[in-house]
Amino acid sequence: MPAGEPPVPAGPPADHYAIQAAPIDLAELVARVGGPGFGAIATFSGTVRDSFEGRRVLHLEYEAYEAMALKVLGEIGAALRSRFDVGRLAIVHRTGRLEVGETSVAIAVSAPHRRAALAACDLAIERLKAELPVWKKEFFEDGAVWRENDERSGARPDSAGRETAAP
Amino acid sequence: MEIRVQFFGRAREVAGVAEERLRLPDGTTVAAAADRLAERHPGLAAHLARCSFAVNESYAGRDARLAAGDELAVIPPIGGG
Repeated sequence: MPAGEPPVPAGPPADHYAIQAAPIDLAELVARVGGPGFGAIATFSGTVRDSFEGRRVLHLEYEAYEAMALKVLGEIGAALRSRFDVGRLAIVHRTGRLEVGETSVAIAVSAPHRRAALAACDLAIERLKAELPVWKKEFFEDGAVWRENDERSGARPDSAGRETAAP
Repeated sequence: MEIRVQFFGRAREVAGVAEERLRLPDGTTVAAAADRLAERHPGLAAHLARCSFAVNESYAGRDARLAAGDELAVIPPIGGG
């Protein structure tokens, strides 16, 4: 900034939503949502698992309808804000090729108190998996499949892991 | 009227295109547009039955009516997260 120019007053940073090919830096998201008024930051990261129903996954490819996905993330953020006393939100989803172990999605939510942060983070990933226009192709040694989330039926374990109750 | 159609994921692979323009009578519903897409891409017909649709970047029901210049997206079952 040129000398003599007054510093731009720093307003509260806006919520951060992104659909990106670049790797996700969770620490950077935590830094974005933190603030002196927030005593809690809850985070969720989804990572690429090495198998699906016993078959070895080599890598994944994610495809997004980016413009709509950003809109949906904003809607999810607004819904969280109307329901919980949250501070700032950051939600990022990857696109393109991901290797096993890489982070495909990350959520960070700050709040004055932990319960709101944890509950908002949980609802954020549930809604994301049911609504975000993003598609995942799993590549195996002998082929590839488009893997569908199972959020709407809600009965079977979903493709992201065992956090959903098994039948 | 003319609309723009976008295909994603498996629908894109099956259709063999990511987007196309479609001429339809004014006021065509999403359901009727989907029928036209199935005629144009016979391999897509069965898959379309499992797809959702978005109009201008918002989810839309099959009875929603389309207008000139609309962007219709074919949304296969999603897999994000």
